[in-house]
Amino acid sequence: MKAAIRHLMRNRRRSILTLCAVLIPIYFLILMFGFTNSVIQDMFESATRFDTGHMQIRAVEPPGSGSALPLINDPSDALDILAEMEAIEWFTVRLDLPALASVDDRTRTVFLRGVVPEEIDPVSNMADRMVEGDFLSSERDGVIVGEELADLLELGVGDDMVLLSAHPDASLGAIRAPIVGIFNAHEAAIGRMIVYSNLGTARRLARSETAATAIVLRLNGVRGSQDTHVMEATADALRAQLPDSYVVQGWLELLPILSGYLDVLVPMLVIMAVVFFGLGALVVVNTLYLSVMERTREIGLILSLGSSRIRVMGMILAEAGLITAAGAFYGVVLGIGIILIIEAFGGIPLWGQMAAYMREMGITPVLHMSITAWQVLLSAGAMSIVAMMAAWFPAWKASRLEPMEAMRHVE
Amino acid sequence: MTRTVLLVLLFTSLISGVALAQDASPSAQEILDRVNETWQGDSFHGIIGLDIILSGQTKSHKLEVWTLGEELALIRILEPEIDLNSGYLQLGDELWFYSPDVGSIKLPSIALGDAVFGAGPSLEDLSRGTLSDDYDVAAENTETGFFLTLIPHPDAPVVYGKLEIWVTSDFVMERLQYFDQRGEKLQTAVFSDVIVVGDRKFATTIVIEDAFGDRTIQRIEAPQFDLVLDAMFFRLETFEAWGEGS
Repeated sequence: MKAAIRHLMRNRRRSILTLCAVLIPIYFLILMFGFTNSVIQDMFESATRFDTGHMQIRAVEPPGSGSALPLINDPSDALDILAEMEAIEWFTVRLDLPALASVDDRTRTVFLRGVVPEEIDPVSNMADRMVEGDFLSSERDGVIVGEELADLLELGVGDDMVLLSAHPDASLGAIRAPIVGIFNAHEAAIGRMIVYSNLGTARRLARSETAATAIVLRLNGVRGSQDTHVMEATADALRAQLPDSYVVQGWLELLPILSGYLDVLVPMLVIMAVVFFGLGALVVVNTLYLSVMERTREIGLILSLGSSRIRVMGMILAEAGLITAAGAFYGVVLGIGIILIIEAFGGIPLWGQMAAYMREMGITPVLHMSITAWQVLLSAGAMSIVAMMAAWFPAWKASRLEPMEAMRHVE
Repeated sequence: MTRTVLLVLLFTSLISGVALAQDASPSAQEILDRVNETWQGDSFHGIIGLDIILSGQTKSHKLEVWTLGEELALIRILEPEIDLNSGYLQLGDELWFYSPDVGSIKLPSIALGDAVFGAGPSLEDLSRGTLSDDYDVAAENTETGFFLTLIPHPDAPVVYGKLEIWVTSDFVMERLQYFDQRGEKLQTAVFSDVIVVGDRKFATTIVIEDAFGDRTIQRIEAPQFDLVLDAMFFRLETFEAWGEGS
């Protein structure tokens, strides 16, 4: 070990280069994990607070029912079951109807989302997103629209909107409702497509006093997408209790596009990690091999003095181990340090096209970072293993040197 | 000489017979035009009873329909009571919905293809839209009439990939099968209860069944063809007048 430390100190520049070859991939991988975690968490929060909940109970969809969700004529039996379940933190009834929204001669295809305003606001903070007018109230008829739809239909607070719906289960329905507010949607598509009303207004359009299309649930003990097992266990418990006319769908099942994004993220991370680790390994091989070549005569002397080949190999691997450990330590410190600094400043706000793209995907256009201990261990551990595997070749070459030939070696 | 004259006469009559036979066998496009003519007329008025059977539940509606040419159509809802005097107005490419409660809404023309009541026939079906404009047609003779295959033009704005129509020898539709762009059958319409209206035969019952077993039964009462209709009848004020009268 002493010899290994001495050799590392002898050529500091090369040692620092090897250290960086280990440090930089770990550092970048921690940052990438940090960014990806943040994006996934942001998607999860946006989706589950504003749209899907952690899961939903819906009516079984008959084949060929098109874009309209099947109506639950009276969800009270399912609500009774939910009220008894401790795993459920929160639930609310929702009625989504495909509709044509018309103001004067301008018409757009929308979804009317009937909600209980007093129930959804504490979860989604929808009232804080109002940019004009007021949030909904169960006591007052009216709708709120996104800024995007307001622009498309050239409408403002106080205008009347006519909604026409033809749900297969509810037949034709048409209502006129005042626009009481305009909100800033977390996702542009929602701003264009969703018109919110209180449940009573939507039920008027569906011509039913009890109709719903979904019961939206949030669960205790779910902090993010990593708690899938909690959600699946609750979904199974619900399926066992609910009548066969209901289905339970998780947030990812309800948002297949988002599920697709998440499916791409993990392979992307693996590819990036392989590239980083590969480059790091090449540098480790290169610098250690050069180090062995430079010390050929010295290694030959050590071997000729009776040192075993295993011992020589161990010496080179000990050098690699020391420098890998130092690189991993500094890589972790640097990576976590940057994440802590960024978060201390509330993230890095993004701008321009990138910000617009992220908003379109339902992600807040602020670069946040978060990392788990497991991901730090994985980054440092995987790179350390790769570095030690890369060091094996120069160590093996050193151990195979013929002592006499090595001592005659001229640089 | 007499023998030569006889041969010439025989040859001439043969040629004439072939020519006459050709005249008697119409082209595919002509058959389709005749089917449309029998089905649509220059103008139409009738009461349509609709039973929409969806997942075993039946919803019934009654509509009054007027059409003038292919551009003008007015559909007034008679039943259920809650929708009385609501309806749709088609003026060429423009489409309107009217309800006594909310007034008129201009609809995108794509709504012509949407089911009026969320299920069952589309506005285009109810306003008896033409079959010929967007399709290339091929015909085969059958024992009772003709079998037509309609393939849409590549740029035609239609949802179907193919239509197959069985037609009687007097150009009354017997069966119409709709296929999607991948060639899978979407729905089948069977035409029955043929009556004679003026000089045409007309099927007054149409049963449409889709691939999932949902059915729509249309019963056309008191159909009238080629009646005199004023183009000024086809306007939103007509609905308003009904509203005031009720």
